[in-house]
Amino acid sequence: MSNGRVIVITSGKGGVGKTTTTANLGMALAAMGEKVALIDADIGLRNLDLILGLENRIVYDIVDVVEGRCKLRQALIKDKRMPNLVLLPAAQTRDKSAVNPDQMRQLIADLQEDGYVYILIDCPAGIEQGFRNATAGATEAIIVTNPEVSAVRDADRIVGLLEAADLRNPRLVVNRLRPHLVKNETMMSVEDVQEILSIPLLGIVPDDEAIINSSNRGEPVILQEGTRAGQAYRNVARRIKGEDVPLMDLEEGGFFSRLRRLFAGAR
Amino acid sequence: MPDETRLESPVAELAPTLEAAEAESGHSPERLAVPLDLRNAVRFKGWRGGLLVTFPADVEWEGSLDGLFERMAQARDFWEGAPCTLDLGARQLAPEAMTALLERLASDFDLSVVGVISSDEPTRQAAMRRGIEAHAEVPVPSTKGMAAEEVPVARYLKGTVRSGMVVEAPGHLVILGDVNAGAEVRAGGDIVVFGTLRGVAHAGTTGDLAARIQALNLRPTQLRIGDLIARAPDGGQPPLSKFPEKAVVEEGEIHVVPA
Repeated sequence: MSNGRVIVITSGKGGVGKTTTTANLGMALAAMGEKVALIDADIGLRNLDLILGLENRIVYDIVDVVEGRCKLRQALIKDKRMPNLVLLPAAQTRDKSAVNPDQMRQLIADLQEDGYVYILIDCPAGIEQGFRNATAGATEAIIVTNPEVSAVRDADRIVGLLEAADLRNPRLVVNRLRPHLVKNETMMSVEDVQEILSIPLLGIVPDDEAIINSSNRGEPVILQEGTRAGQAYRNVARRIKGEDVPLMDLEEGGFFSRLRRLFAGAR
Repeated sequence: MPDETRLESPVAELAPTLEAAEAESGHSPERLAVPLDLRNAVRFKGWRGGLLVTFPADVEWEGSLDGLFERMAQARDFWEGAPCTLDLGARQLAPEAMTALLERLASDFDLSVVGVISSDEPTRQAAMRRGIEAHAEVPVPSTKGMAAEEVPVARYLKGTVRSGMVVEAPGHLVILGDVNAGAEVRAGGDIVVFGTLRGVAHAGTTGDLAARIQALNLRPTQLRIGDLIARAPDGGQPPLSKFPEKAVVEEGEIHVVPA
């Protein structure tokens, strides 16, 4: 068994877009026909259900499963748009100590038994119990960071902790990039971030107002055609599947106009 | 943690080279009475916590002895009492000649010869009869045997030292990779970073102000050498240097200079 993928999505710092990333990547993988389960490991501060627009369907949660009040299948919420996407919601009334790493591993094994090929775990911020739970059963990690020093510093710490936990080769998603701010050097560039973290880049997601709207409506941005963030997430999902997708051109005006400027400058 | 290997170098820490010995005894090579070619005939090197004396094959015995004793006399304090190994090469040494040499080393310099390296069988046997370890060639050090009793000279680390990590070494510390901001590296001796140093580095933790911190890109949060502290300038780092830099103590302050 278990040629499935168990990927934890983590960042250290809060508010960089872990949950949004988990929701969108899960949705994108499901849209490509994969059987996907999302686990919200942020017990006590659950959000993933909101972003997915599934809050009103929660009956049981992860703690109910662990404490034997329901079967795993009863707690899984099938997405209203993608039949092959399910969410195992976090409990809102408990805290991180309600689940331990062994229970987490058991949940993952049970999900794999049920045929879920991609299991994405939305990790809470921080490096304590919640982080240890969320990473316990994972075999891969995606680090989400923003191009700013505090987020990168925390991401660096997380990479070190993942290595110590033998979760090697994490990959990086740089979220909320604003190309024009990078251009006038008020924002760190992706290169700056990569130079510090020195881990492979899985994708760059531009800052996009569509995200705010989509989060509030519970409609992940990948479901909206024509959004740049949605396209970026779709690309990341394809790269997770092993496809070779070039980085999209984030700058206004596109690649060719930049190329022209480059030559104009050289003259 | 990054991959790690400990170096147990057979060439003991800071091999006491002739130059070092001369510097220590305050003599410059120019003041030596023995002609230059003979002085260069015998070679010294720190080895297994003692001294390895190599007699080259192409120099006649008496001449090389003169050079040996002359040099020993110049740096007497440095070698005195050191366990000594003689590398005689292919030379056939008469038992009397060996006796004379050993006695003189013992009486004049308080040197006890613990080993002889010779490709000549009779010479080796003569040595062994005197209770001296004899080898046909310079033995390849067994790293296993040494590990137990010797303090490692340098700790060698491959990989990125990330925020939140602390790496310490009793001796020198060599890192093949970056030291990121939020990480701390500490060494009793020098710190060499073959990458970018962004975190905090403390060299000479036991108070050694001669310790230095060297990096391909030196952009630390803070540098400490012995009990001195220097911090990065406020308001952003200066542009990256095009060459490696090192931090050393000059006149009681930490200075950063090209390495």
